[in-house]
This record gives sequence, C-alpha cells and structure tokens, in this order.
Amino acid sequence: MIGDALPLLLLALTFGALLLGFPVAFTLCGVSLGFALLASWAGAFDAALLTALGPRIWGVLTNELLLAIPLFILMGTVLDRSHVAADLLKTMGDLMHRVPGGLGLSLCVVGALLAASTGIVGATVIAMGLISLPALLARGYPAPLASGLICAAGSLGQIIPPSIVLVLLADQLGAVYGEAQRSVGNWTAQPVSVGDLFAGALIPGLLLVGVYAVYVLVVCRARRIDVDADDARAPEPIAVPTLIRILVAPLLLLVAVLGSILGGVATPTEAAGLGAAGAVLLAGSKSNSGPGGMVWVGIAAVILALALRAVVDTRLHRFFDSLPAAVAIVVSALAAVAFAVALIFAIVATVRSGVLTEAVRQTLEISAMVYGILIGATCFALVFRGLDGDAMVGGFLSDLPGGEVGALVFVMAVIFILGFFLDVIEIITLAVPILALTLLQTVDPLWFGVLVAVNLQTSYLTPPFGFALFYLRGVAPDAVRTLDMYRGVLPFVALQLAVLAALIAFPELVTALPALLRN
Amino acid sequence: MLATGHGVAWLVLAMMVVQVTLVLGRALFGLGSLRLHEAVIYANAVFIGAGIAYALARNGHTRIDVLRARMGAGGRCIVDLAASLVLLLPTIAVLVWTSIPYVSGAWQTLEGSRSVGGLEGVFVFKTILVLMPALLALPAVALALRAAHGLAAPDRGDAERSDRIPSDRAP
Repeated sequence: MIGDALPLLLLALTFGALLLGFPVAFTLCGVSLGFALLASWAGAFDAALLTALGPRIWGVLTNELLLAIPLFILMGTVLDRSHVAADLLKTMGDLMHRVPGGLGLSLCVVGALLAASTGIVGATVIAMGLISLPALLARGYPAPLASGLICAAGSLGQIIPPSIVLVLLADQLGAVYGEAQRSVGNWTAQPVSVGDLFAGALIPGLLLVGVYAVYVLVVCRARRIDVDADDARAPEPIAVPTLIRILVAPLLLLVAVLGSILGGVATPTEAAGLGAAGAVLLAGSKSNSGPGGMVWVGIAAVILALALRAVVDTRLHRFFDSLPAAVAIVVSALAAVAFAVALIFAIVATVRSGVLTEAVRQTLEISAMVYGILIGATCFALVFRGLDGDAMVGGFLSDLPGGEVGALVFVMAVIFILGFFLDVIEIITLAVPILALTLLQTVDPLWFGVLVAVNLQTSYLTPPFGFALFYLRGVAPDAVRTLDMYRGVLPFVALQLAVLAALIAFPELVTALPALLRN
Repeated sequence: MLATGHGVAWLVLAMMVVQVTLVLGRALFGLGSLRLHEAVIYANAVFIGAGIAYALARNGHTRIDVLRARMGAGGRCIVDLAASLVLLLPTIAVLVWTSIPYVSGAWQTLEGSRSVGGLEGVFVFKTILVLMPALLALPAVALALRAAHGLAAPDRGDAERSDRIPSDRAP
C-alpha cells in the first residue's frame, strides 16, 4: 500500500520543488535521487538500479539524434545574431503596408518563416516585440490583439519543422513506442523517425499559420483596424537584389534543410549541420568587411556540383572509368574547394564582426540547458520507474471510461494543464514517456507525436508560465499591460485547441504527407 | 569557468564543419569516415559536459519562476542556498559515485568503438561522466556562496544576475 503511494509522493515532491524556482535540471536530479536514497534505506527501492545512471547519461550524451539539437540551435543563433529576423520583419511590413490588415498578415507569414528557420521562440518573440509591436500599435491594432498575435506567431517555431522540439519528441517517442509495442508482443516495431515527424507536423503547422491569418483578417475587417492605405508612411521602394537577399535566402536555406530531411538525402543531424553552415554563409554574405560575393560563388558552386552528381556518377572510384567521369570529378572537386573557401571566408568575417563568437556561446548555453533537463529527466524516469510508477499510470489510464479515445483525450488534457506550469522540454522529457506508454500500444506514434506538438503550442501562451508571454513582457512598452497580453492570447489558445480537435477528428491531416513521402 | 566555456563553445563550429564535410563528401564523392562521424558525437559529449557547468555559471538553466518572481531577494537567496546544498551538491556526489565504476570499467578494458573501423579511445571520452559533475561543483559552490553572501548582506547581492537579456534564455 505504501509502495503505491511512493510514485505519487515523488511526483508531488518534484512538482513542488520545481515551483521553488531552482534550475529545473538540478531540481529533477536532486529530488529524484534523494528520494531514491531515502526509499532504498526504507527498503522500497533497489539502490542497485542507480548504477544504471552512468550508462543512461552516457546514452543521452552520445545520442546521434540529439546531436541535431546543438547544430539547429547554432543555425538559429547565427540567424538571430546576424539580424536576419529583423530584416525580414521590416521588409515584409514595408511590402504589405497597402493591404488591409496587411501588417498583421505579414506577421503571421514572417513568424512562420522565422519560426522555421531559427526555431527559437525567445528570439522570434523578442524580435517581433521590438520591431513589430510598436508598428502594430501605431497602426491602430488594440494592444491585446497585437500582443496575442506576436506571441502566437512567435511560438510557431516549435511546430513548423525543422524544430528542436520535434527532434526531442521523436527521440522520446521512439523509445517509448518500442517498449509499448514489445509489451504487446510486437518485437519489430519501427522507431519514430524525425523525418516522419517533420513531415507529419508540416501541414498542421501551416494550418495553424492559416488559421491565425484568417482570424487576424476577420478581426481587422470587423473592427475596421488597419484598413486604409497609409500613404504618409509609405516606405522607400526596396531594391530587388536586397529583396532577394532578405526574403529568398532564408527561404532557400529552409527548403534545403527541410528538403534534404524529407527527401531522405540527409539525416536530421546532417541537415542541421548543413543548416548551420548555411546560416554562417548568409551571415558572412552580409558582412561589409570583404567581398560578400565570394559566399554566393561558393554556394552556387556546390549546388552546381550536386546537380552534376545527379547526372554523372562522381564517386571517386569512377575516376578511371571514362573521360566524362574524370572531368566531372575534377569539376566537383573544384566546386567543393570553392565552397570550403566561401565557408572559411564567412567564418572569418562573422568571427570578426563578433556574430559567431556570441552565437557559439549562446549555443553552448542553450544546448547545455536542454541536455541538463534531459539528464534530469533521465534521473527522474529511472527512479519513477524503479518505484513502479509507470505501471501505476498505465493502470490508471486503462481504467478510464471511453477506452482509447478517452485515454487520448485525458492525456491531451493533462499535457494542456501541465503546459500552464512546465515548459515544453520538461513536458516532453518527463510527462510524455510516462503518459504515452500505455497509449502507444494501439495508437499511431506519429499521429500522437504531432498531437502532442500542437498541444504544446498552447503552453507557450498560457499564463502564468507562457514563455512567449515572458519574452514579450521583457520588451513590450509599459503601455501594454500584462493583462492585455493575457486577454490577447486567449483567442489564439482557442484556435490552437480547435486545430488540435481537427487533427484528432481527421488524422489524415497528419499522416497523409509522411505516407506520400514514403512511397 | 566562463573562459573554459568560451573555449569549448567553439567545438560546435568544428562539429558543423566536420558534419558538412561528411555530407558533401558522401553526396559528391561517395566518401565516408566512421572515425570522423564518431568524432562529432564525442565532440558533442565534451561540448555538453563542459556546457552544463558553463550554463550554471551564466544562470542559463531554465527556472520555473512564477513564485520566484514574487519572492524578494532574500527569498531567492534562501532557495538558491538551500537547493544548492540539498539538491545540487548531493546530485553531483551521486553522479560521480555511480559513474566511477562504469568509467573505470571502460578504462580497464581500454574500451574502443563498438563498430569496426570506428574511433578508438572511447574510454577517454567516457571520463566525461565523472568530469561533468566534478566541473559542475565549481559553479554550484559559487552559487551557494553567492546566495549566502546575499543573505548576509541583503543590499549587496542577489543571486540572480540582472544584466541578462531574456533572449539568452531561449528557446
């Protein structure tokens, strides 16, 4: 009987300790390990289980999939520090200034773009808060609508691939799904791949963007906000080359990263490396200290070489096969050299301007924060399961009325509520493995994963711990009250829940694209 | 501590360069190297192993701050001091203590790569499991001391650094 209460006690203690505000990573470790020591002293926990800590943590540190995280973070911090975000926001705002509701619409589009490229919610919300919030307010948008829109659009980064959250989710779901399937006798379950999850999240992510856009347009029409063209503030016409650099280059980078994963050409980790290199190249091309054109020559060269590879087999051992092959190999080698030179040039330029130095430091800090929580969650999971907590949760879920759907709705409700208090990484690493174990015996892990990802969108917006709210509060003018923000995000949370309901009702929205790509 | 982190931070750039080299080498010329591939993985382990301590020194680990925002400087110092002593330092001790047999086992067999043609010397990298918590002890002690100092002289020290911009706390 006491044994049954222990997992609950651990949960309650952990939750209470987290609220004290000590770093999450160490709170998780400290509470669960301390609890384990006390429980083993009382004879309710096998202390020998703790010897698994070393191998488990080593497994986290050397996990190939998670390797994509620091590289994606580097891509985001470089794009952020080199003001790609700021440029995008300004240019789109200028382009759309004649369309009724245009400013709001451009925020949705840019939010999606930025979200996808940097994937860092904090950076996106702050950039938008600094640049677009004053513009929105000046254009007559009410403070709640403006702040709600910025928070919602800014947090799209974690649902629109490539996203760190989806990588983490794939890692956790992969392990849980394998275990769930083994428990029902299926020993050959395919793990959940990041590529599939990216493909599955794409349409729901775009759906969210579309829903936000429609909402903003409707509200603007109905309340006559931002309807008249404002010629007094007409911006200077933008030169086409600048437009290409600002709008098209980040888009190309995204297509390259996403395309190579979805097309099965590169693993997510490799694509993340390419994305980071692309971001460094873009940042380098912006520097005024040297010939930025060099960068474009390098990029063009490598694209050419890849195109050539599609026609001719340029693998080195083909060199002596035929003259065209030899020529093609030499051309490719030259292209690779040009690319290397361009990359070196971009690295030197961005180190000199300080962009890269700041970016790698920030990458270290953010990556360590993510891994810290992963390690904390590993400790917690080891102890929680050592106390048979997983069996308890499983039993509880299978006792729920309504069968599978009932359990699914319950799990979604728990994640939604947790979202008020915990942040996304903690929910994925702590709650998802515990909650999903029973469910994944029958439910499609891909569909479930995307449902979780969409559900987690709300956790950025729900007070008191909505991270997007924190970030925006940090940069918003005092005229925008915190209460305005809370009111402003409400409709967007409702929209997110509506999309979640749509995805539950129509699983094809999630599963169609991955199935299409697999064939 | 910060200087170590600033040096280690560049590892991510090296990881990026090697990763790109591997992708282009395979895509263009059909070349691959298991050693380089595994080198990226262990570089990341070193990166994170040092980064955990670095992030604590920079106050970069996420905190749930709904109550913290309402606490005074004194309350924060009490939480930081108590949690450092009760949660963080014991965690470090348990992690070192449970990792030592695992790591020394790797040293005794001079553990190498699990795959043929992979990187040798895995046992050296595995030492990270002991070094990571050991390194973490430095900023942990610093945090506890700073909090104690803040309690002793409330007007002078708040364990929270106030010069941080929120974007450092992404995602």
